[in-house]
Amino acid sequence: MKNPVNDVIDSYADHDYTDEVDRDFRDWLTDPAHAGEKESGLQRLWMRTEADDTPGFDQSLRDMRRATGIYARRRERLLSRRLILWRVAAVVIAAVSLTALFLTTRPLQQPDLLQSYIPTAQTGTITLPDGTLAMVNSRSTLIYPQEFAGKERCVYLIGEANFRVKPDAAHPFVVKAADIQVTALGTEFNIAAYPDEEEIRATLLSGSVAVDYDSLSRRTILEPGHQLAWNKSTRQAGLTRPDLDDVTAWQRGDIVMRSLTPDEIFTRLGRRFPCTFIYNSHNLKDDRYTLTFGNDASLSEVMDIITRVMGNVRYRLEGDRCYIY
Amino acid sequence: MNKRHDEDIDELFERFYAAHFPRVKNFAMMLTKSPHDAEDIAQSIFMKLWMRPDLWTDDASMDAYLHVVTRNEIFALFKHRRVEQDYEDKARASGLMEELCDDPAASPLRDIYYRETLLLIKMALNRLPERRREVFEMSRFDGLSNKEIAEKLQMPIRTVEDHIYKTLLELRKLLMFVIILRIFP
Repeated sequence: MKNPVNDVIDSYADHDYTDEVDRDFRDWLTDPAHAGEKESGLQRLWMRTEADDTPGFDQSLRDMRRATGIYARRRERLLSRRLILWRVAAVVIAAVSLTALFLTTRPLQQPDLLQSYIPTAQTGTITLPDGTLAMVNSRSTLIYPQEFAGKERCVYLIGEANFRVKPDAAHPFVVKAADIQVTALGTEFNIAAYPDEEEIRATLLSGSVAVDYDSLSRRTILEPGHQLAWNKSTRQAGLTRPDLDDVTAWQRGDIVMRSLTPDEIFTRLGRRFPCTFIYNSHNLKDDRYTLTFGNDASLSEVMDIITRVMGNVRYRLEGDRCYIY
Repeated sequence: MNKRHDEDIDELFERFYAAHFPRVKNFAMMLTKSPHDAEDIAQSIFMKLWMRPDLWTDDASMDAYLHVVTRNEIFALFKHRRVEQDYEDKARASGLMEELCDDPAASPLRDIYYRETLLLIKMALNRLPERRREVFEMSRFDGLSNKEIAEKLQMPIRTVEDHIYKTLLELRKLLMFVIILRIFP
């Protein structure tokens, strides 16, 4: 037997109506009368609802990936995969050079590249072939040759590192990171160029460096104590004088976060602690917070304080996952 | 390192999302008639689920669960936007309902499906071609005579009569089930 409740649901679902009918339908549907019949009518509608695709699904998927952090995690993995390709390329170049060696009998050796990845929750110090000291922050990769050859001493960075460059005026020391490059003679500087952060920051501690950015089309000479911040998405550059203790805090194991959004805070903590932060960015206010922790602070101590400062949020630690809700 | 583990969770969730998101959004779209509201409802449901991997890593009863939460979200939205009912409209339409029933004793006015019937009539009128609805509403709701309508809309009086006749026929067909229900309860 036909049921008028089903008829209402079906003919409403299958056509578009005026606002007035929309209002009537909403009131009717949420009215408790015939609740059981409405329930089974909705169940029938659910069963026949198209389940394979929906308009704008690609956009929905992208939004979901951003809100859950899947996007940032995947991009980071993609970059490390690209690095592996790089290694392959380096080997190919070496092979080509070897052929060249036989053909020309002139030694034209392309140096092999070494790659160091510093995992979550660690920092590492690397002495480069020229004696330059590189202190590398967690989840960062430094690529450098076994021997420096040619006019420049060139290294590649993904993430953050501090360089104390061995003076050698004849061979400038060049750090390449994303679309920015820092050229130094004898000097100490810090570069933060994480793929999951909008901003790349180069800070000069002593000496003198030239920073080329915006796909190397612009150049700024930094003075000691100055920081150049280059925003990859807005393509805006800014020059500031930050607190140098803040910039180098990571080398002492301290956590210093100045005026960061919750997203940025959890991205940074995700490098520092072996833990995946699971949250919904829609639930967090986009306020900016300034927080400082010593190098002995545990994750639960840090989270206790962060949730208290943010207010309205709680967290739960479960193994290697931290839920913020 | 927990990299491997992260990846598993991310990929599991994406698979779960791709398998279930379209139905949730389509269902919400049919009832809210707004792609924007449907997107909000569907995304907020999946964001809540992202926080509860214990629920979706076991996929078996997810469909029934999603139906219930989607329905609840839609109801919450509707109740939130609830506005005062338009009683005048109801009264106008109910005069029409008496007319549509040949047997006054079987009037849908006293029927337990009165509201459903009213809504069905409204929706049917809504789906009519623009001109036909205009003619019908002028005749039954604004109380104009066929002659007056013909003058106003610059059309032959025969066309006006034809529009009204066809509309009544369609509405009567729609109300058949109400009468059948009364005869075979």
